[in-house]
Amino acid sequence: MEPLGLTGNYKLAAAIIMGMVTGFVIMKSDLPWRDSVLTMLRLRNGRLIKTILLALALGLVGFYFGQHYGLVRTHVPPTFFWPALIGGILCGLGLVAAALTPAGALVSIAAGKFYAIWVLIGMMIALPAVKVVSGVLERTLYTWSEPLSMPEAVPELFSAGNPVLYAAGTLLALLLLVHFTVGDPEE
Amino acid sequence: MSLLTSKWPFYISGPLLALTVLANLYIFDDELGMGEALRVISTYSVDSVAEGELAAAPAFDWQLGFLAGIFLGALLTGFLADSCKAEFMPEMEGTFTVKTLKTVLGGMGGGFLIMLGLQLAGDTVYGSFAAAIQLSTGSWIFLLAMVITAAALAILLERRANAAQGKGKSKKKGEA
Repeated sequence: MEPLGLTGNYKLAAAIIMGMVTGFVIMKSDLPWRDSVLTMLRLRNGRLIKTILLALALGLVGFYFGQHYGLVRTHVPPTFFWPALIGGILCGLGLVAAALTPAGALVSIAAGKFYAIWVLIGMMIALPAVKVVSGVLERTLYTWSEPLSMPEAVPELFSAGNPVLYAAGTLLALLLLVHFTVGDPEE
Repeated sequence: MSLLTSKWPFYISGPLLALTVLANLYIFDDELGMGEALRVISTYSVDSVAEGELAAAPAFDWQLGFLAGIFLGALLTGFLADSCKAEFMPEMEGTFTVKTLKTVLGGMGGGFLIMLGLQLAGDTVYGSFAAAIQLSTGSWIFLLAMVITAAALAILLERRANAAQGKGKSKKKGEA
């Protein structure tokens, strides 16, 4: 079996449809709501944390089987340690101030939360700003460490050296911890 | 119909989120994420502002289509669930000026930092999520750094706000 790998207009049409499905799921999973994100970060509401942990755990296992049966292939951009770490810290700081991700901001505006437009404007300003300093970044941040290794195919699911098993297990254990400690005030 | 109007529990939304990412990888057989589409929109906006008129429209590729689809999907869900309600400011305490300043500056500053971080890491949060399930080390470092920083800062700020509120209350009691 092989991935579908649509091209041309079929790919565009599928992208719009799959985008709509993704927008629907994002909206129903509480990701675009400012309050949900903030209560999640303050560890007051476990619902969104559990959603993300479960999605990651099932995604890892699903991708493993998909790759095993040839349905999906690895497609990840090259990454570097320092840019990933500093990028994550900056993104975390921004998340506390804006409480929205790019997709969350887009979905929020569609749902009538027009204050999210400021978040999108801030994001749009950051894009050319990074372009301006990209030369400096390429000479500094991206040269501090070698590119991180790309993911490798894992042969056996239940083998001791399978990172999927450890990662999915850890995520599910965290999910249980969140379920019994943080809980969900709405449940 | 209740599927559209009610909130989904985590055991429904979690698997569906994972399933959409896997389905997208199967259908497109390409890198997922919205970074490229957002970059195209930003370049188009900057060019339009610089030229003082609308610049030539960018090619409508699949990533722009995906972004448009997300917007349309959310719009449709909002209308079907009757949950579309115009809000110009999030719920927060303070006067109108304070609220406006917090909304505009917090939103723009936060959005700037988020996109700056995403550009450094090389993908959007959705793209990082998709790369994380493919065991990309960089995406895991990015996601962990983001979550730990955001949670620590949010908890510290809340504690500070609570302490300030407590001080205010005790002052009032003392005056009384």
